[in-house]
Amino acid sequence: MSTDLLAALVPALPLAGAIALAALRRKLGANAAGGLATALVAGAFVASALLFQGFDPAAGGRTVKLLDWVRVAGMDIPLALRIDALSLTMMLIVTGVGALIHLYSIGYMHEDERAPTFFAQLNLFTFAMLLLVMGSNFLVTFIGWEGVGLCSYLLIGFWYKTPEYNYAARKAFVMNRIGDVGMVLAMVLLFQRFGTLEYDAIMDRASGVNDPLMIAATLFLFLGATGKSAQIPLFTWLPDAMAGPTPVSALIHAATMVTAGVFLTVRSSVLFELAPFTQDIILWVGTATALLAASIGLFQNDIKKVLAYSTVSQLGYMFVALGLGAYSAAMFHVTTHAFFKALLFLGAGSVIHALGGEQDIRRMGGLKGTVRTTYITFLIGTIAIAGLPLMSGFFSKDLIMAFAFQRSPVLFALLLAGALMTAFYMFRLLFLVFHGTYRGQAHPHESPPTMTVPLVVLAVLSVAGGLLNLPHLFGGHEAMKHFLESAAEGIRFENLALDTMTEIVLMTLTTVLVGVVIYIAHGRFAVKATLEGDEADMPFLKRLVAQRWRVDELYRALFERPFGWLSTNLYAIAENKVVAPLVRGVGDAALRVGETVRGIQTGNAGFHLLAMLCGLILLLTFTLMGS
Amino acid sequence: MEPISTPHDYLPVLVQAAIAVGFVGFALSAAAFLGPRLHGRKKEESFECGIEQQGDARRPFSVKYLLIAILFVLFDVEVIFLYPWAVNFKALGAVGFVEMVVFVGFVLAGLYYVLRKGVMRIE
Amino acid sequence: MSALVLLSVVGVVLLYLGLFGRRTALAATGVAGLLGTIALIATGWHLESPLFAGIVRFDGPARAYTLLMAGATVLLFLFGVDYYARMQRNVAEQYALMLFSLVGGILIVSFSNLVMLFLGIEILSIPLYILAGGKRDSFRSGEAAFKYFVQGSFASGFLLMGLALVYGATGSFDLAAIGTWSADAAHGHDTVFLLGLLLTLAGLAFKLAAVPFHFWSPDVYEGSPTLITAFMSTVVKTAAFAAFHRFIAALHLPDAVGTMLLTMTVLTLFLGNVVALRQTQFKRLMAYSSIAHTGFLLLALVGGDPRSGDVLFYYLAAYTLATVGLFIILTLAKRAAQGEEHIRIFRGLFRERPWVAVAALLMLLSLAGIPFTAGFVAKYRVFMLGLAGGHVLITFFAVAMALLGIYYYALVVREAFAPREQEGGTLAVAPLNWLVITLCGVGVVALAVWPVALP
Repeated sequence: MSTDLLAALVPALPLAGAIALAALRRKLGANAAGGLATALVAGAFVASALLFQGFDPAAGGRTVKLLDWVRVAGMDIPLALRIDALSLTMMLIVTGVGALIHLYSIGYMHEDERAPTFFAQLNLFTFAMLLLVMGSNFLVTFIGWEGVGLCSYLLIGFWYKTPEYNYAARKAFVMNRIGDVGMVLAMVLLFQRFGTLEYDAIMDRASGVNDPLMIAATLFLFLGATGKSAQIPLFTWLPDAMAGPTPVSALIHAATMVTAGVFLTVRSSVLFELAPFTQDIILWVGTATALLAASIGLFQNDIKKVLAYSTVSQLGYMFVALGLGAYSAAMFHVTTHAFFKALLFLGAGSVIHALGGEQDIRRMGGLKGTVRTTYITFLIGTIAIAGLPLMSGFFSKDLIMAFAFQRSPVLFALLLAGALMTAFYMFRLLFLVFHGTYRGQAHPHESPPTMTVPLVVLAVLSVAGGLLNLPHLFGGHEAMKHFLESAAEGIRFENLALDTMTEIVLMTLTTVLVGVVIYIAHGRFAVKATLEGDEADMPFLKRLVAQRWRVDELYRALFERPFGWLSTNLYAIAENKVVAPLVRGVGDAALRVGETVRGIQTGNAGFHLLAMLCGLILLLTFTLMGS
Repeated sequence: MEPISTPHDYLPVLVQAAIAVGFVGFALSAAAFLGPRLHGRKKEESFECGIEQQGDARRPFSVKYLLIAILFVLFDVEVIFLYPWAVNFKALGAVGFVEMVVFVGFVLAGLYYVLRKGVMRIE
Repeated sequence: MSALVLLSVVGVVLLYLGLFGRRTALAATGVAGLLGTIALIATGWHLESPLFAGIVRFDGPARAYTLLMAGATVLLFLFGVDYYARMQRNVAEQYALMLFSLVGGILIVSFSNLVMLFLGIEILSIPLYILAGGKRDSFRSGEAAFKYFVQGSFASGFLLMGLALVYGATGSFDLAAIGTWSADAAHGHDTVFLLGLLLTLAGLAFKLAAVPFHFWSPDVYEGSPTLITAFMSTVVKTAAFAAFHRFIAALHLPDAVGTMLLTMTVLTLFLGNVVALRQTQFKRLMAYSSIAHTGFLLLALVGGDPRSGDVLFYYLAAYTLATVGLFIILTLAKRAAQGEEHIRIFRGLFRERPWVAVAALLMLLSLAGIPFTAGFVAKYRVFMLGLAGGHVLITFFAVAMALLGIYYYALVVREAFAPREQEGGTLAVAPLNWLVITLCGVGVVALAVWPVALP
């Protein structure tokens, strides 16, 4: 099969699935719909794998043009897909992890009567995400970008009968929209400057440009990225987005959609390299997000909220890498994070499923006996994210931290603090859920194989994911870095220039400290389950953290209230007292003029002629005076 | 191309227009001032002799008059084309002849259409 | 040439068919003639240009616009089969007059001499004055015809005065010669020329229904028979815009003309969109929407960009498709609602005729400029042109107006998809109408993924 056809097939399969499922949603059962959806995404994965296999890194990327879309002389925006190392990496993640999550959903959603709709939306989401990563220009990416936002809105609010869920969906939508404005403005600026939206053309023309416009454009792009990738200040939607079914959280809010911001930044890395100011901003926003979210994660009691804040925190690490110019490290972390975070979310889903919908870890505990597979895989995921040696998370996170150390030890220390917090809250979660004694009333049962098989596969990947980019220190070749480097033109890579000894010292330091933290957590949560009491009883600082630094309240006070006040008062005063009488007055006046004119003229036509003539005279006067 | 006219060149036109309007105004007002005025019922009738006038002059009349008038003008104008052709008959030759036959054919088609539509029938 | 002759002869043939009572053959003959014209133009057979001693030039844009207008007329003729089915007398004249009007349209999209421009506009307009009054028993129709005629003559006066002044300044009626003349820097500030240009553009702007020369359009759109309204808002508008563009693109415009165009653009955008917000009668709504679209189309022209021709053509094609379809659906709904034109007559359309409702939705979305429809691509290109031309503020204003415009289209969409409270008359869709609606509905989406450009 030709490359072009394969490339077109990758997004076409999920799209076909979405359309077919939407059309047949009343006729298909939950299992049939799930099977079809899974098969199509798996097909897309196979197509991606074939593309990957046939891809020659030395030959570089290629553009597959599907359609002439917007074409006027000089303004040429085709509907085209770009196949290069970067998009292939993302395609494999999206379709691979996506297929596993689809499979898992069959088990998870089998009792929901709207399951076919769910799978249609899941497929549509996969399609949009593929469009996002495969687009050869900003506009195609933007369509995927919007589509992803839309599907996320639909899926978060999937259980639309609960009002808070709808609120969460709206919040995600609005936050994303703020980011989208940044993306649109960036596109307009880039188009004005370069006359095209094609990635390779822009990257070609941009090299060497030194222009304040670059700073503006990259800042806008970054604003877009913060919206999708849940960075400060737009991160508050992601924890709320946990309202959706758990597979959605796994797919959207862990493995794929949230990495869109990282992807976009890597895609336009040439531009970011030209704007060191923006890079610094990214670096510090990433660090702040990593720490803030990790600290919030310490005291959460909802199993999915803990994972959500951990996602925000991990995304912060990716942005730190981007800010440091370590693009391959960021992509590496995207990949490993996709594995272990999907695993953790699906594991959490399995637990929730086992307990009949319970999400509060205070009412869990001692589950390791009853849900054995889930426990073992969840344990692997926890070890991976905590970054214990030889797990995938170890390699990817340590790579970022090594880059950070190269920039400044202070930055390293901050990230280390974040990593320790991560280890603490993850093991707290693990111990409170699976160890100790059961504190709830439900009757736990292990999930069906459709749910456990993906868990096992993802667990294997979480362990082995590090091999993708094994550093020289461990006898590897940094394969992923070379792959990305050789084939994705326009992306620049910084090399790690630390000597081996420093690297070993840093790794050992991290590992030892993480071990200590795990020991403490074991003491507090496994031996005896220390539960968080009422927020009111906490000391001030702890309460502040537990209440998520009160960011939501801050936003409400800063934006929601003033705007609400403004709109209420504008309506009461400006609209009712000023505009409405004015409009009514003008209307009345016009009517009265009409009446008067009718009194003088025999018909309206005459008035029209007069008006036309007056208009002409005014226009001529205005024009001639103006010139 | 050289400008063959400037606003300046329109001055004579303006002057002529002024003279024309001025003359009309002058003649009318002079007549009003100089002429003797006599008012009377007989004097203000439209026609001083002949048939007695009946009713109002401003009343609707059949649109057929208008139609026939405009059709007359139409065919009249079309037939005017025949004169220059006839004068240049030799010079235009066979092609001219064929063209004129086609033209006359169209005029006849129109005439037939008009007759068939019953425009000329006046009850 | 061959196309013009063919169309005129077909018009006469139609008159004769009517004379001998062959009603059923009328639309078929007309469509055949139009298809013949399309074939002639498309193959370029006997398209010797320049024509009539160089006053008509069938260049690329002229051919493209001719195809577009002839295509739209074909759709309208197909619709006419059903539309005129219950009309007793003078049906042939309706078809024939539309063809004659189309001939005028073709002349003004291909003129290269100002005399031809004027003649073309008159040939285009005079049949329209009659057609607007086509419903002889309707007072509104007569009123529309009268108003259109009076105001149209007025506009012709502007146009003639303008053309005369342009001739006076440049000494030529030839477009190319005037273009050369205007490019000469020495003539940049010629007042006579400028005044002539402004008056000419004002005369043309009347046909575009650009503010402040738009007063006729709501009354005339509302009063005319729906088929004729559709004809006016598609074929005539296309012709007028093509002529407008042809005129200004050939000249080197003084800055003052740019100011006038910008002023008209802003006024038109504002008035069209704002007044449309309050309309509940569908035909009036479409009239104001048409004015609003004039504003967007003008925006494509103000920059004087060489790409504006392409954008204009694409926009007009998208607009034409959506408008034709919507007017047909209006006629059907109006018939079912015993002649009412309030937008609530669309209520329950989705329940009753799902496909027609979906097609209506597509066309309304296209007019509103929602992505994945031709209307979006068209507006997007217009805004890009506006930005490229440096009119950033006005483009933002236009974007704001476009967003405002979504509201009144959404109102109609809401009606079409709302369930009907009580049972009304049933909506009958003849096969030919269904075909045209489908063509238009699919067309606005197809155009979005397969954009067309001028040859």
